[in-house]
Amino acid sequence: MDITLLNRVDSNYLSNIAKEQGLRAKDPEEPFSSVLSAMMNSLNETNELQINAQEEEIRFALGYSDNTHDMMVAAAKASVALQYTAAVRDKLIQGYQELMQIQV
Amino acid sequence: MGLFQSFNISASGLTAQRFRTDIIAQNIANVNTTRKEDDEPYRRKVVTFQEKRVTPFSQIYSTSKNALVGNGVRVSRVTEDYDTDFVEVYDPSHPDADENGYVFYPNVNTVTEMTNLIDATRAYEANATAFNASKSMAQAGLQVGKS
Repeated sequence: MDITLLNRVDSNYLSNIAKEQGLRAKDPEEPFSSVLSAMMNSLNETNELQINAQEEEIRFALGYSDNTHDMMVAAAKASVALQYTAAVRDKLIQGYQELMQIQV
Repeated sequence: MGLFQSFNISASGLTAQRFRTDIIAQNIANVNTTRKEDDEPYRRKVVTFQEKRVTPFSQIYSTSKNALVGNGVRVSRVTEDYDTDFVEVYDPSHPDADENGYVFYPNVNTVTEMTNLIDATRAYEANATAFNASKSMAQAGLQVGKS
């Protein structure tokens, strides 16, 4: 099987959806950069959620928060986002290693 | 992140029920308050909730799924109970007694308040359970494909 076929979406429906959502790389030569930028976005979002969790902890410690669940909600969000980012990173590295193991 | 929509909804439920317990606690605490600043006995407070919709502005940017689901719950208002009558007790020696010797106590029924308190506590727990369920789902989703 031609490996370039893997990148090609032939179905009109799928390609329209992808175009609408902006999922496909603008430049077909650089699909990797779009993956990398998506990864960086999710890293930044995770970072923001971690900062939020930290702020909530400080608010709780200083006695400004009026309930206990706000802190735990922020902490749970940060934890899930971190797990998600770690999973994506693992997949990226796994893909990279698969490529590096190709025998030429 | 759209991933956290259910988290936010459960969190809004938690906050709303938390506020409801605050008001119930205020009612119970004031069960013997015979005079406020306006010379009236304390009036029982009632909380009403409202669905928290996605704002029309953010609806334009959010996907159709989020617009359908909504944003959870919010406290719409706290009203005073004018339907239940004050409790009338004959006690001429009380400083707040009227010329006939009657004292008006607040229209707070401790049994009703206790029932509402249990209801609010259970609703809070239900929201916490829903939150934990969506967290478990998010974590289980990450395990897909891992052996």
